[in-house]
Amino acid sequence: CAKLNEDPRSFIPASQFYKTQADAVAAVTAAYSLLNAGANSIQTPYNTLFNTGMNFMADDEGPGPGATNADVRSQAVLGHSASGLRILQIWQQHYAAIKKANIAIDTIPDIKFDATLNKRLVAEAKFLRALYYFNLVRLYGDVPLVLHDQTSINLSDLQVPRTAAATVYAQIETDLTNAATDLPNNYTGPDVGRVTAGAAYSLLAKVYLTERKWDKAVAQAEAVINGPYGYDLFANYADVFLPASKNGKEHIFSAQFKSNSQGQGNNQAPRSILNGIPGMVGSYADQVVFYSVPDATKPNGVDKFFSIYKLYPANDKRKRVSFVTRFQSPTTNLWYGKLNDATIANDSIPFFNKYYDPGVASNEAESGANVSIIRFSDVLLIHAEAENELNGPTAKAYASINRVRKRAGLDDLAGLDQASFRNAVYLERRLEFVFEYQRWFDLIRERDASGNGILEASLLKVGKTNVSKGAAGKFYLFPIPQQEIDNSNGKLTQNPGWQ
Amino acid sequence: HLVGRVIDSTTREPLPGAVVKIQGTTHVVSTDIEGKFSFITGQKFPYKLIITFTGYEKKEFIADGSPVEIKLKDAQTQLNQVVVVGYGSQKRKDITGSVASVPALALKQPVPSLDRALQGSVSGIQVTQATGQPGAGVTVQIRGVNSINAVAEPLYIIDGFPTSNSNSLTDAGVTNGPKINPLASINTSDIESIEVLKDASATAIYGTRGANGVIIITTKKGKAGVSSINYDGSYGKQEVIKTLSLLNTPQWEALRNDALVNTGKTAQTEAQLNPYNANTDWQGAAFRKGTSQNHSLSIFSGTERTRLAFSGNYFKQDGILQNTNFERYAGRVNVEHDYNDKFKISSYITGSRTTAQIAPQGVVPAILLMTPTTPVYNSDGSFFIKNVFEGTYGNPINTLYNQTNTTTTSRILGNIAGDYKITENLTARVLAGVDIIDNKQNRYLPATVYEGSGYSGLGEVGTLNSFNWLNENTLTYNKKFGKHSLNVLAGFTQQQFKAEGAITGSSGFVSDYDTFNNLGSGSVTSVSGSGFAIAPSSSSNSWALKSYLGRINYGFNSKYLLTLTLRADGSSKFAPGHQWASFPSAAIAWNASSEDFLKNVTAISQLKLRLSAGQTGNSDIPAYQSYSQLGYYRYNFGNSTVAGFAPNSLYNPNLTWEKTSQYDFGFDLGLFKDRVTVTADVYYKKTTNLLLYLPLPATSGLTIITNTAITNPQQYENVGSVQNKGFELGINSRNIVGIFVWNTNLVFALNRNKVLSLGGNGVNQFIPDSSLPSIIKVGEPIGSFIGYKTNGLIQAGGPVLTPAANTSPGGQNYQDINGDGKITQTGDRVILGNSQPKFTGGITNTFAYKGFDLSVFLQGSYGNKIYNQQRGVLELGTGYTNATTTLLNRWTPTNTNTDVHSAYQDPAATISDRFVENGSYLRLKSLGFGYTFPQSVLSRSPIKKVRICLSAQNLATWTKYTGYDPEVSSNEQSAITSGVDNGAYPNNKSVIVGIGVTL
Repeated sequence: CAKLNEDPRSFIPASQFYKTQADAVAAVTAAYSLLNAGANSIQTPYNTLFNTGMNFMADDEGPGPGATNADVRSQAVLGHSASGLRILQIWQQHYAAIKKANIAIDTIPDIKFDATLNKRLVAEAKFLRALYYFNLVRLYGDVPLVLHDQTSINLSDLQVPRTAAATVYAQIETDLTNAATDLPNNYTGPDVGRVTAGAAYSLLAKVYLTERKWDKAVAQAEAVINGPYGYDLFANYADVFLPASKNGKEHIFSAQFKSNSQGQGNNQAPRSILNGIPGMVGSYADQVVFYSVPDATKPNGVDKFFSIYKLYPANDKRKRVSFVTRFQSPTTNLWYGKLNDATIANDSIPFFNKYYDPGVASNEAESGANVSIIRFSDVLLIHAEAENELNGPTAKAYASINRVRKRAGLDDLAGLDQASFRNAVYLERRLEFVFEYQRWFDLIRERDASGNGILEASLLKVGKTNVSKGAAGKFYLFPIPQQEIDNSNGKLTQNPGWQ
Repeated sequence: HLVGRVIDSTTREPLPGAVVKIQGTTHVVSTDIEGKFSFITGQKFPYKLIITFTGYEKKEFIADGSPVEIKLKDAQTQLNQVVVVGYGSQKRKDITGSVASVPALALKQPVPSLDRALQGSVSGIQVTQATGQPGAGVTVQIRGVNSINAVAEPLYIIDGFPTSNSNSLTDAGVTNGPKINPLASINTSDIESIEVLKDASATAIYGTRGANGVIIITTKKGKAGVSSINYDGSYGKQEVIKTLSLLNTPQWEALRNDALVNTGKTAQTEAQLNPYNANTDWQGAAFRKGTSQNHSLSIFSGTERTRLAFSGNYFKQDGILQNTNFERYAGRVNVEHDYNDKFKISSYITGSRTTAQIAPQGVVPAILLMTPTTPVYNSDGSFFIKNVFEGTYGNPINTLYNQTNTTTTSRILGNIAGDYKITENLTARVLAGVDIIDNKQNRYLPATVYEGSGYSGLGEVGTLNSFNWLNENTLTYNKKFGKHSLNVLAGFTQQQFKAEGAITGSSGFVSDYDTFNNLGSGSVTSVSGSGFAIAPSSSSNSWALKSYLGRINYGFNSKYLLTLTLRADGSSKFAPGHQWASFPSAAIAWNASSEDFLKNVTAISQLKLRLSAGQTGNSDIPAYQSYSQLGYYRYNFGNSTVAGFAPNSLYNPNLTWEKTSQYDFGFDLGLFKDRVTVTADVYYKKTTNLLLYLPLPATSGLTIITNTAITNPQQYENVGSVQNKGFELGINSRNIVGIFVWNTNLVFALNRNKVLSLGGNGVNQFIPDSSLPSIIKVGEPIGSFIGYKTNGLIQAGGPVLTPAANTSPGGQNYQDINGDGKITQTGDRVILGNSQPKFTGGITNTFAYKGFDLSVFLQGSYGNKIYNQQRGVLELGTGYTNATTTLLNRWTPTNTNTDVHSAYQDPAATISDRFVENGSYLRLKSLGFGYTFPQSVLSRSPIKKVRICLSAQNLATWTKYTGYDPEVSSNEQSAITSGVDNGAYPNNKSVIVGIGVTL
């Protein structure tokens, strides 16, 4: 006899879950999952989406010849609209992750198990929620602030208006502060990679820096630098990125990647590899942004192939870690590279190399290299920048920036005024963090001596003239995705300039 | 010398055009206007005359030389024809609903699957062949689209077993590209008749599954005392309908350099542009003349007590793209046995196995977009791997030849039924049936094709096994009381479906030798992150349906007819408390021609007026949609993978039936002794409580992120409504009768569809996929397109109104609809048309003279629009890929008077009216010529009948559409995104020769 009551067997119904410690742990794992989700065909924020959908607009990285998505290419020249695919995906995925954090925060306190672990899991979820909202508020400005799992199927309940950015920032500060008190300073064994108290405080310092709360940023950064967390720079810059040294002393919080396991590879790596090399997976979809600068040694007195690669001082050790100009085929052992212009000798095209995993040379789509979300040199540069803004280039400020420069093999800075020091920090960040999903966030945050944003000038310098079209200011915020506005019953408004 | 006259046996009217033949000779004459004929021959009396006349029974008459008067008896006319309806059969004159029979000629077309035979044969049914992949599915809509997200395809009843043409039944989820149609497993030669049930009166007996119409397929059965062995064979050739005009090497080089220069870059040299000195015609390399063959052998035999039919079938069609094909082996046994006077047992069983090599997804765009400077082969004869330039298109010819992409389906569909006459008037029937479908799919990308090169070979396999059982228990009461006739049906039915699937894959093979057959030897397993290979996964889903049904047919004096139907259905797919629903219908009909005042009007041989109203339902959504389902979200800590779970959907406690109310008024008219019959219907349908896959705001957090897809947050909810109203006309005319016969069958339908509501809450439209033009909008039909309106090109010093990157002279300008001085998504996009035709029609003319017959079948669609997305890509003019020759007329400083924008790199893909094309077409769908050998030739052989034929399909198409074929829908069975052409497998035209032999 046919039975009408359903007995689903290929998924877990929500009503059967959130009952045990194991369920609680799995609920928090889901909140982390966005950090490394993805595949070649799917991009998530820390697995290429922040490049194609954000940093490609900036001055260091752009779409390579293998990037065929017209949406991405138009966004890279700032020709996009509110309907841009990546604009929507960044928004969608952050809210998908926030829901997972919310349901963990809502349900775990009611599940009975070890109280310390229970609090820690909620704290981890709060940190993640704060991180996701921090990304959203920086990119989109005022955003809907959803703090509890939504279970109503009524559309009007699900249509949420925007909340003022200041309120969102206040919530981020609250979440990070609350989380830090319940989080341990470090983990061992199978828990390595989870959020620590130091991570919460470090992110808080960055939040304060973004809010231009210089005093709090300085204090928070110093609490991390001098705190009980054991953070320090690796002696060798290359160790920051090598899978062998992942989750080391410099790594405060990273997106965790893993080779050959359910698609947890870092897909950024093959995008930077020249295609067509025997035995290597490379799509050549990412490339440095080339622009023209005067150069007497080049034909017609112009170097048409200037890029961040040539911005590094000659003795900067970071250049050879961050870039390569040729690849060795793992099958033929032949070397492959490409010249910018066949008529100019030794002017090779540089390729990003930060996420290259030597362990999977034949399939870098399975790179196990982590992506740093916040690392110790970031905290040092936050400290230097905030201290300079607060008190000028003090000894403390020099100490922090020079610690980063020293590791890179550069000379100490000295004798700068406040404005020059500021520019020095900005340049240091650009060179230190290239290809680490930081550049666009920096470009929309950083201001020059007169308090004006640096975005327009920076982009014009590399030939992205669309930035000046209409209101240049509109690019400081992403448009709210058109699909979301259409689907909001008028509750969502568009950012200025994007209507 | 013989003279005579042929008259109607009842009316005694002369019958002009009757054919009179002397047996065993070639002497044939036909009667004149007074029904008279004469023979002047040397034939010796007595001899036998054979008199035939369409619509009358054949008569033999011994002539002895004296004048004769021959009376012909009216044959079973259309009125008396028995038509299969839901859970029974009825004489056509007693039917109150709108039921159309597919003409026998339409079933004779050489098509791989039966649904393709429906095209243009019956009014109100729209069939679109979405892709030219042999064996692939078609979309069928009866009286418009009722449902936005639930399945809008009709229900198919094959010998009493309800099934569907949903591609998901035969798709394990491994192959990519077009999906194979489950109906392709049925041998079309086995089909005796197809009935299409259109209005609520006819479909309400199928209640919950009747809203989209019902198609009843009856296979050939044995007949008492008739034995025959039949062979039908055919062999054909087909080729692509047309090719597109693309740039050759010099033209493409000029375009590329133009684009480079216009974008501020340096032009390239000939050596850079064409390093291999190639000028490849990719279409020429990809398309071929394919062959097809079909062999059917059937044996019929029967005694008074037992009737048997056996058949076997082999069908193979090669696709017009290299190395694509479809193959079927099918067998059938139909048995009917009268155990005694009261008990009858019958069983209909078919088994089949189909295999298809499918053109991989994206291969057609790759054929079109590959630059002509890329060679197909290296100098050593091996395949060139990929596009010379940017862009990651692999060599599509290599992909076609060397990529395995096969699907194999084994199916057993059978039922057994017992009928027991409890009393003279009361019959009980118990039926048990099963539909078992086993699908296996294989995919292998060898290291030698671009797509697989990075993985050292990549293999995937998948299986999907489904088991669908049915039990029906019905009681039928049939009684005549004087002038009253009563037929009552009551029953209980239950059906349950369960499917289990598993897929897996691996990569990193030392050798391509084993292909997909030895996945364990791949060094990398579960690598779904790497783009292609599928991680191991398994699935299970099931649904059940229980139903109570009842129907009363009442007739008074065969003049006044009443049908009342009620079906109560319970479906497992809905939330507890919302599973059951009742679907009533009522219909009345009046056989006006039986009234005295019309009996004397000789011109009108029949007139029946029909009126029906009723409600039907649709539950065709995936199972378990009322649950909040947790999705799997893994992460890794301590470099070990750990499992996480989080909700992918919301608990919906109210999920229930989608309901369609339908009203129909129609008439059946027969004129001049049914020489001309006309059937016309008008109808109105309103579907409410739509099973809408409602798009939710992303802030709900329900965006689903897996390794293979990011899915917009959506949830099945019962909101919104849609209406369809329309008119249908069918005319059948026997224009000339006699020795020379000319019949015409014309069908015509128009349907107007409109979305009435999407549930409020400010939602009056949604765009299911932002990369497509498709939009669902209140007040507009399903299948509408939205986009910008082009407004000439940007000229030097002129206005610049464009959302695209190219703002220099030569760029595309758009209309500023809201007049705010800029082009924006919100303000300037308008509805550009929709994919639904204003009307569709078909006309079939058949001619016969002696043994010769000729049929000409024209079919067409008017007023539908197609969004030619493929042309949008081919006209980008970036120089990254090849382009259409339209770009030869592109804007340049010296060619400013043109509507073709300049070459430019990095344009945004802009959806505009430029690519909305008129999809109207008229097509010579089928042209058939046959010859049946006369008996005199065969009389000394055991052969009873031989017919040879030559036919052509899609021989000519008249259309303004610039893509491959106006009959296209890249998104296959999706109603929302219909009418979008994104590089679908092109349709073919074919010529077929065939022979039919009966022993």
